[in-house]
Amino acid sequence: MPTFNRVLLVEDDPITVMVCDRIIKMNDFASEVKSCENGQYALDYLKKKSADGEELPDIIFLDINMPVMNGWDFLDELENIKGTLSKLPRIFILSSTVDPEDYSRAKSFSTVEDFISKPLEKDYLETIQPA
Amino acid sequence: VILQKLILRLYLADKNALLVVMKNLAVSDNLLQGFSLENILEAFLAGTNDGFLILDDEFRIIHFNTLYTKFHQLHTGNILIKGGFLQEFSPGDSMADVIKHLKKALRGEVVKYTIKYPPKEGVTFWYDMEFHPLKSKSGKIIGAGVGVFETTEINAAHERLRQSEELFKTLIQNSTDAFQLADIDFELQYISETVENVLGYKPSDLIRKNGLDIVHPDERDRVRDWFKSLRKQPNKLVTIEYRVKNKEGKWIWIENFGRNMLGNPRVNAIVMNFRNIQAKKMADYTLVQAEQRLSLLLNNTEESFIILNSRLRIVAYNRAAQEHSPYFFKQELQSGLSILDLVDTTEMDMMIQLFEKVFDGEQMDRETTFTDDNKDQHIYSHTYRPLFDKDNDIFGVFITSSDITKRKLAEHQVKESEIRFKTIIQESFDAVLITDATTNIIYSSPSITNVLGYKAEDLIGRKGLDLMHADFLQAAKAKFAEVLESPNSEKNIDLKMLNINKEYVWIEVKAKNMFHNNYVEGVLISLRDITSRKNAEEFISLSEQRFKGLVQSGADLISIIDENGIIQYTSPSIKSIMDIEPDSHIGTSFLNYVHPEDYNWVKERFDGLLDTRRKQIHIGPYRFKNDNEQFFWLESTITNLLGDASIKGIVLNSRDVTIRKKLTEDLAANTERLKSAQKIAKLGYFEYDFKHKTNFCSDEIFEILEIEKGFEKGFDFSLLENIVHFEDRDIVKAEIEHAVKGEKDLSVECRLKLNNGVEKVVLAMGGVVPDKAGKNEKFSVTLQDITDSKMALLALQTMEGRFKSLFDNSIDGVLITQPAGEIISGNPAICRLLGYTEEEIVKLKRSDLLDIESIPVRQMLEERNKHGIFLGEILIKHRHGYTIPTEITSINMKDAQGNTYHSNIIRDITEKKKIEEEQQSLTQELIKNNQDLQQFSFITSHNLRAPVANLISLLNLYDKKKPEDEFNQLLIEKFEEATLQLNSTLNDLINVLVIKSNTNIEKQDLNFNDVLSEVRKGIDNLLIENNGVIDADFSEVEHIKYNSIHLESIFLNLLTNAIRYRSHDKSPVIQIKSYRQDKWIVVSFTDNGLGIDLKRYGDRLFGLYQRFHESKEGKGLGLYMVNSQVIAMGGKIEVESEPGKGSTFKVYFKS
Repeated sequence: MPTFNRVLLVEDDPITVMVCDRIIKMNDFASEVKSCENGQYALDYLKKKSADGEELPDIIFLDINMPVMNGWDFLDELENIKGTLSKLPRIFILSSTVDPEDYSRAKSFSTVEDFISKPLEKDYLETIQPA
Repeated sequence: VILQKLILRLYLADKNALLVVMKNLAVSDNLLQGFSLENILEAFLAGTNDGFLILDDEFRIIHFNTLYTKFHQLHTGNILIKGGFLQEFSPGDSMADVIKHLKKALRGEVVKYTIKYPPKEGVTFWYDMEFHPLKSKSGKIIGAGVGVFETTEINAAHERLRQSEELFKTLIQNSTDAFQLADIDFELQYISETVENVLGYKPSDLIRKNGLDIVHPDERDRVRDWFKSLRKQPNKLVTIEYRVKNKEGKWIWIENFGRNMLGNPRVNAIVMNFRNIQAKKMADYTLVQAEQRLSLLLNNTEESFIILNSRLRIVAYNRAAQEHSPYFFKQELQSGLSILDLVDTTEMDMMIQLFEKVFDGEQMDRETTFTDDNKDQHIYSHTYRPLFDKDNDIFGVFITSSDITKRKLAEHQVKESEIRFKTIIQESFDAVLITDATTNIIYSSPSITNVLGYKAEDLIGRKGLDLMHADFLQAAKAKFAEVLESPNSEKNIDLKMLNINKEYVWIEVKAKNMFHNNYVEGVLISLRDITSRKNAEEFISLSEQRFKGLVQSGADLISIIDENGIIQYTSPSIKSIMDIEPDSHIGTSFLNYVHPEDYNWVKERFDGLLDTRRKQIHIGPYRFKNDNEQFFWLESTITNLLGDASIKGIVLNSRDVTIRKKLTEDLAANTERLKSAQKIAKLGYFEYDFKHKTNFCSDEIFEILEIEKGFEKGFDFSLLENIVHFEDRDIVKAEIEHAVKGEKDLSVECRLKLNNGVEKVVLAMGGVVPDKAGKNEKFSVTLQDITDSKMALLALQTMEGRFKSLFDNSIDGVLITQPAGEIISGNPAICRLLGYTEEEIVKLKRSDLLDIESIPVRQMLEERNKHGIFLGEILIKHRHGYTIPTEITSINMKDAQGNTYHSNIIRDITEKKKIEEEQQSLTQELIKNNQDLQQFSFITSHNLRAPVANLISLLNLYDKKKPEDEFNQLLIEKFEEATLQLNSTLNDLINVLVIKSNTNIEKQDLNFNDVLSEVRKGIDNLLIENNGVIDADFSEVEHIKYNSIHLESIFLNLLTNAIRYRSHDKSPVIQIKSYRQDKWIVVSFTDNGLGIDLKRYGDRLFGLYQRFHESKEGKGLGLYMVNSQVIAMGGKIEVESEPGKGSTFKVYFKS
């Protein structure tokens, strides 16, 4: 029985998406993995699911550097619409950044639960437990 | 017929009425027989030189004689017709008057008046008109008689006389004045030079002589009386006209204005101002003659006439004829006598011949002369006219005679008067000019030579104003304008005119507008030299002023008392001095007002004056009270002038010394104090009296100079000079000389070398003291021994000198200021720094140099107040407005007097600031570069880590046990992909690093077209695939110096982007254009692609690895590279873009 029902990957790099998907599934972390290649799609996805009354993802792994809408912009937008969502997913930033500025910035968002340096590993997934 | 009817009517209605008409005819009733009334009347009317008209009470013309017709014809153009109405024959204008007068006559009045024809231009005829009522016996008015008597000739003569008299008056009035002073006995003390103009005498001819000597014997009593009245009435102007003998022995009329000024001590004479009025007198005389003559003529308009019958017997004659008959007949007229019985036998033949001619129908004229008992000659004009009856037969003779003596005489007199007038004008000291309205001189009398020296003919055509002194030009113009505006009124002005010697002389100008006058037709201007009068006026005015100054407003009080001390006169100054009304004490003894304590000795002194017959005594201070019982200290000089005819009294000349008295008392008290003060101050006082040539030295002078007291007798300036230190001697000498001359006050400091060898420093100050008249009276000097202070000062000066040298030579600026912000001094360094001179800088205030509101300045003031010192940096304004950064040390200081001021030492730190700023900007740049580099390293490590992370993940997923596993195969593919990605990223980073690290890339001259062609090779496929078009225009700028790899990279990146991010529904169209803007060469790339939301992405548009579109092709490197390349070469990039419409990238290259 997987730990979570649904995970959303917001990531533009297809290899990363593929690798993450594999790791999540191999470790029985979630039964379903959905990916969006930038923040805008992710937002649209969340809004649509919520509006359709469907179940929203439990976990979001969010990349920062993406075209069209990067991770920061996504988080900003989410702040604006989070009240309208049926449920607020737990968000983990998944990035290869080394800029300390990014870490402190991530902390300014209450919606962000943790900051994960790539690659996503089995050990880390095991620390994420349902609330 | 009508006349017959009239006479018949008159006769029938009232026989007396006819007699009224005939009254003057002195008709003897018995001789009327054989003569019809008509005959007589007609003879009378026809024979007279005057015009007659008889009207009935309805203005119907009953009769007129030929002269009236002539007159009427002459002036109206209509001929009277008997029976017609007068209105029908007269012109409208004068008719109204005529009717008015006629109506009066019909009411019983006799109306007489004078008329002029024509009233305006041309030859003027004068007529005396008379309107008489014709009454019936019962007194009823039945008509009117009109008489017209031509008086043209008389009036013209009179008018001419009046005019010449007027002209004459204008010229002669106020004839040249002379001025004399006489004593009480009319002995002439002084006579002005102008007496020569008036009487021909030199002043020396008359001086010391009695003024009566030259008076006409007939007039002496009158003149003596006049002089007496002058003596009795001080200060009153009394005028008289009398004759005096001039130098040539002729009797000349003069007018003398006398004024008794004996009471005026400055003048002490009877002042007389007289002038020649001979011409005026003569004019008066001529006028009287003319008037008499005129009245004679006017009173004799009725001529004498005699009517003879055909047998030459006297039928009728008038009263005039009766009166005059003795002059031309040997016997009295009597009706019935033959005229020949009256004629002198010597004339008999001539008369018979004459009558023969008359009976032949001729009119005869003759003149006779007659000398009466008074040996006066009479001239008569006689006219003999035949009288025709209605059958044209001669029935008698009508003789009219008129005495033309007076007329002849008048004519003669006018001629004579004119000659006299001309003479007077020519010889007059007045000149006459006639000018037109523009001041052009059209006539000048010859006497102009006497006044201004010009010849009359030289002035004709010149402008009168050209002769004016410039100072008077405006006034003269204004006056002339006034004259032009007011015909016939005379305007006066005194001014200076240029004479022929180019000198300005005072001229009295009288101008009269006489354009209306046919004889002048211009502005009549008379000029007279009044230089001497001006001088006299000035003299009088001056002496009057002095008199006033002395007697009225002076501090002296002058009273005249008699021998009993009774006050006769007090000068007005008594009011200002003692508040006593000037006349209130007159009649009382002056001793009444003397203080009881002083009374006895004052009286004694006064009595003593009279007893001893001394002329003058002085009375020391005594007290005199005013009406308010207030006492004044007076000091008086009493002069006995009882024997002096002009005063006949005792003159009490008093001075209020109340203040002096008080001062004297105070002075006594002060003297001691002053002495000690002088001692303490070591202040000596020296005074030299120019007038009395005496010295005064205070005791201190001797002490200072250390010489024996009593030296003042021999004290002179040479002593002072001798003891002055030789180095100072010249300057002291010069100073004293200037001061004595009053050029400037003395103020000199000098060293003295005293006889005993002691050296001193003294300060001498003083100057001349003028008296009231402004004349130098005294030279006073204070001498102060300043040796002690001078020594101290010298020491101070030495110190100051040192300070000054520091101050002057300091590199740092020094400003000495006061707490209120005034600048006391600034040294050369601060002046150089701020661009002011040392004189200018001390006129400035703190606020001129500092921004008082700025924080550093406020801080400075605050801190200096609190701690007495401020060290810091402030900005100071340069003269030219810019500010200079300075380092300032501002210290509170106090001088010996306890005054606070600030010493500000100022150093220009512009250079230091500049270096500081440079360092700061360098640091900033370094920090930025550092940050950039850090950012770059973060980004590159991120981008390197991402594929590495992928590789790690892929490796972890790889199942080594099942190499053939399908998933393993996929992983290997991905592994390869990630490795390539890593490699590509590394390559990109190397490219970026190359650009960023090497700015010194070789530049070539590049042609934009070539660059584009080269770039197109790489993108043509892409372009063709997407139906893209590139539209390039490099016509404005074709070439650029740049690195080809960089420029191609820029072109490639921008063009690739434009195609890559093309619109989904449009084929890409890219416009490239090169142009110059300011210092830049600009290449703009405009596309019609997707555009960029600059609001959202603008800040990270040129960031590394920033992508804004979903396109898989972009890595977020292109614009970063372009920007880096452009910036590395000193350029910049600007973007304009709108989502959905397209973007324009403008690349600015340094040209």
